[in-house]
Amino acid sequence: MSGLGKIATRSSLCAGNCRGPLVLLAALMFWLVSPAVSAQVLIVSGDGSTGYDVVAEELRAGLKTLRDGRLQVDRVISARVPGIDGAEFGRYELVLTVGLSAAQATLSREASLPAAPLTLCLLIPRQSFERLAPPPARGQQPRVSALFIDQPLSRQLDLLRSALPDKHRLGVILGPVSQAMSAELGEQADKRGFNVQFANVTEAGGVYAALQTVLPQSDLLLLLPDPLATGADAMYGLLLTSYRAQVPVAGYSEGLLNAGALVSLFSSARQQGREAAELARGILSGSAGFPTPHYPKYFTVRINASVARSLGLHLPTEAALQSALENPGAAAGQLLVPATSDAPAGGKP
Amino acid sequence: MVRARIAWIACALCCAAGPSASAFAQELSEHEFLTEFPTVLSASGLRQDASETPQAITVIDQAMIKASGAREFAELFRLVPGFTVSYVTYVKGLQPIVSYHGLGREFFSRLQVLIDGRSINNGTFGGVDWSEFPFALDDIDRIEVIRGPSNATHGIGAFLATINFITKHALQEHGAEVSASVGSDSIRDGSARFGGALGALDYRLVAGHRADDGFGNVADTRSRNYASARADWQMGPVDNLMMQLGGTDGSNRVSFRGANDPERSVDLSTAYAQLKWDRSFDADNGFYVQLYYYHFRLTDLFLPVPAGAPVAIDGGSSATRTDLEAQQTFSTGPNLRWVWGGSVREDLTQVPLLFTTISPLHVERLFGHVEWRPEDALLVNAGAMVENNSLSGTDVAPQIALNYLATANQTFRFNLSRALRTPTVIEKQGQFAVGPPGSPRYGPAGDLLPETILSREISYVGQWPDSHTTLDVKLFDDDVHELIDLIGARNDSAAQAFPKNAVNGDSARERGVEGQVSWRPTPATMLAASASYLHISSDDRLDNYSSSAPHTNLNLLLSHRFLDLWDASVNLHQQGSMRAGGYSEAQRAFWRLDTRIARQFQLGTGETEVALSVQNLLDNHYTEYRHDDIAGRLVWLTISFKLQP
Repeated sequence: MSGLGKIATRSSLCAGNCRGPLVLLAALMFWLVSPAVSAQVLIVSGDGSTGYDVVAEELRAGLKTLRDGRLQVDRVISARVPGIDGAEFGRYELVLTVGLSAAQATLSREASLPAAPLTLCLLIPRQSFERLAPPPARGQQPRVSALFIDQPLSRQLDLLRSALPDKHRLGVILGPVSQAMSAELGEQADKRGFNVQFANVTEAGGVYAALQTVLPQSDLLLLLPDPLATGADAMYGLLLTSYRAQVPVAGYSEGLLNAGALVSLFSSARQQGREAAELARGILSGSAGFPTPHYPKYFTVRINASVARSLGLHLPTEAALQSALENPGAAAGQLLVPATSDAPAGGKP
Repeated sequence: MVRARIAWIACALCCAAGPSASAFAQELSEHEFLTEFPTVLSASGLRQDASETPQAITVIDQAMIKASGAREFAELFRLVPGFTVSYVTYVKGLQPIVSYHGLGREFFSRLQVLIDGRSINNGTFGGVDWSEFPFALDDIDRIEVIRGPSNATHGIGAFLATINFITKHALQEHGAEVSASVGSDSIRDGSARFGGALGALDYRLVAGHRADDGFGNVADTRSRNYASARADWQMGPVDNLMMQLGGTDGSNRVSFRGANDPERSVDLSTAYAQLKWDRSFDADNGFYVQLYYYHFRLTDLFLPVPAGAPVAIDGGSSATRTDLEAQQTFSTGPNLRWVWGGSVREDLTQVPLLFTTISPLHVERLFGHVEWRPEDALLVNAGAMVENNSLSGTDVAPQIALNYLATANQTFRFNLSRALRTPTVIEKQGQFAVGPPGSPRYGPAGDLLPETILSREISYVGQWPDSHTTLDVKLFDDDVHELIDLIGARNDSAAQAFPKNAVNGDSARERGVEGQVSWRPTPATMLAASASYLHISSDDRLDNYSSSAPHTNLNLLLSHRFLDLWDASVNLHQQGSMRAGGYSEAQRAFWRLDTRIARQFQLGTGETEVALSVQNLLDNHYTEYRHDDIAGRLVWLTISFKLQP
């Protein structure tokens, strides 16, 4: 630390031609960001977001005590992954990717390696992961897994059932990406006594027309993540129009809740980091096997009390709803799936 | 928390702008889950549920507006318990008069009327120019009516009640629409609107025309053109800018039918501009700053009859208002929510007839209120407004309300509030011609105190979600003091002993009960009923206060949509006998029945609606403010064509 301070001081005092300290500084910075040879865990993340930092922080904190505190955890941004030497990459025991771009960069780099390390993808939606990493061939040992960022449909529907027991007409706006979930959603909703109305958005600006179809026949609107149907461009109109129609909206993120959704179910970056650290400890200590891709076990239920009051809705408390999801009755036994489960929690078997 | 949000927003923006994002535009990533969205349901934009408000409220939504068969804005208040809608023809031509719990007359108003938060009360007399709306009924999203004084939350002039017209957000209803109505009484209405978007800026342009012949045997033809524009610009994740611009222009035939007051035409015009910057972090935290301008002009030059005096009399007036307001909402913990703010206003007025130079009126106002929920079943709402008026000095209007939720759907409300109505510039400075025609004398301006009201309210709000029913009953006992009135402004006024023009002459006590029921069993069926009983006691030294509102009012609105194509509705209205203040005459009790039937057609990509409206179906000939303002049946046909993008 003091060395770095000295270099910085010297370079700032240097008025003439003094490349030496700059080169030294560059070398030091390269050393700081590039993986060291003896490293055991590599975190690959996108650049420039507090969310990635939170996950990395939780991982470091969770792994700190492992192997008598001698476990080395390196971190690079995904843009640097293609430049990492193959042999060096292969020496990692476990690679943890944070975010979709990190997973894409890492898996594409690993594809060119003869022996790639175990890789666990974090902060990644299930659909995107499944497209990126098809399941291994029969008999082959899985090497890539994921902790999804999204919530199982069953959990979302259970929440709506217990939060708003008298609402049965469920409207859903689907886009090109969320379209794939319609069959599963229909089936799951049916089981819980919902009457589902779907409307498809196929082009930008089509959300309003879709709402006109769905809102008159719905007393609750469920949002499923989709870059087109629930993107930032569409959200303002979507929330405003639903509110004016007095139809409450159920969302999948804290951002949606703050914007005006009535209720949201999500895993925060910290919860994802915490669960990822537990998984990584299990893998590295050998106390648990390599997990199959699964939904998060830590999640948060939040209610927008102001919106609830404005719509004249009386909901159970956040704690009560959370606890109902965490301790489900026999009927909803799939809500929580241990990390070693062999199927995505609540998803199709 | 806010810093974290900003970081996420920055992240989302970087990702949206970066090359990697476009390559995976259709791929779902973590950003959909972690990004922040603009706060849509903001602190100032959320409407309060009836069980949460500190006063009794009535919300008139677009479905009720359509079903009511109303043609003009003022008529909608027949739906609201305690409200009376009448017409006067002898001041500026045919004008609707809306009052709550009486105490009204031709040009004064004890109501606060807002459009999207800007006051349209006329700066001269304080009344509302109900014909001067710069848009059509279709442009209204909803109307919130606060039945009771609410200085602490709705500001200057929120005395007996407050009406807030909320127009549709520019995002709603993109596309083009044209509409035309023709009917009896020479009804000729037409409007055109276009809504669209330029990036994050949504806009709507409206232009239209309204005209009719007024009452059958009175020269009260009126005709109005209007145009307005609204733009809502979503500047960023938390910032919104609303811009409005518009105006009206038209003329009315008017005659007082008196020797000095010949039949003639008067021109009326209005213009306004409004800018509102709203920054919302979430539903409980945010602020807005709003600036608006409103101008009203009445041009009325006439020669008295018989034409003895060759000099034309200028009966015109103008009022210009500029108002700057800021308000912040924030919460400290889950059970405590604060709202505070302030405003400065300048009213410039000119009324040449009153032979006086009117100095500008400056009003500064500071207000705040807190919503405290000590436990789930209890909501305390306390607040106050301090107003400094350049004419009448500084005064305070406090308010406290307690809402007790006996069960999740049964609420009892107790409200105690004091409110003010400060004198208008005319009341304070005007010199009116008083005494019999031909021998005018002009009284000096008076020292006036603000009018005050002490309002006590006990309400019950019941909600039955399973049967889609809500009931709201309000018991009230209000004391109104220092009522300001003009000497000699009553037909039979003998109160010449008062030495001034306008004085604090009377007090009134208003007691009664009013209620409303709403039943919407399906989206296709609606029933809204309201009823009120009101008793006013006053010495009536200067005006007819005790008879200024009917004892009873009743309204029943029923509508149904058949086969998803036909809309049919009936509205039955009863109003008891009354005699309003000023020059009005006694009005007998009456019933009237309004109906509307409409059918929709799909025409290519557009949607057409043909509607037949019949007001006063049974042709009941009751009278309004004067014996020759006789109501009769009105029939008109409306065709509208809507093209969505």
